[in-house]
Amino acid sequence: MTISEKELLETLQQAFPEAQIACLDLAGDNDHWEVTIADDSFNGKSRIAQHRMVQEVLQNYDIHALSIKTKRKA
Amino acid sequence: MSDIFKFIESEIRENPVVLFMKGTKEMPQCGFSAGVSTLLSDLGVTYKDINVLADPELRQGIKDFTNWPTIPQLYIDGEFIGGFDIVKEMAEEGELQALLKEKQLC
Repeated sequence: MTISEKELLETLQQAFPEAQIACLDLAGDNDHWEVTIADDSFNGKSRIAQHRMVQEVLQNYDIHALSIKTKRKA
Repeated sequence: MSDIFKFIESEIRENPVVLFMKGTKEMPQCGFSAGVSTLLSDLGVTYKDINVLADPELRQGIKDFTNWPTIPQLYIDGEFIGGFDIVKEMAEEGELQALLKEKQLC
């Protein structure tokens, strides 16, 4: 199953409304994504906890490869 | 507790650094698994590689055990450290090296 950039971005924006979000299609096939999310809600949380927040939002999508980068908002 | 959880618990208790991966360190079968494996080897860390592709029950079991949806998964001193993205970030920032040094593993 693949996911379009639009759907991916909208799903993440809904979950992290204040965040700066970038989605990069690594292989050009809508199935290998790198998402970078900068959001204040990550502050004070471990990397594992931050990634779990993102995984949870995308848990219903079967994406072949998903690389996650989380950071505080600049 | 299931047998697979018991197996995972004993592996991470008995080995200071354990990498659950797709394939082996000699022949990784996924880019993310290869990435963590190479990082550890480059740091001169001795680690145990466990190939989840050899056992479908383990492949699902490690995801349930850690509550983490993807493989590879790195454990140091019995504690879950992360998958490729996190391990790479930690290595870039020197945190991984500091942790290994603190535990006298490299």
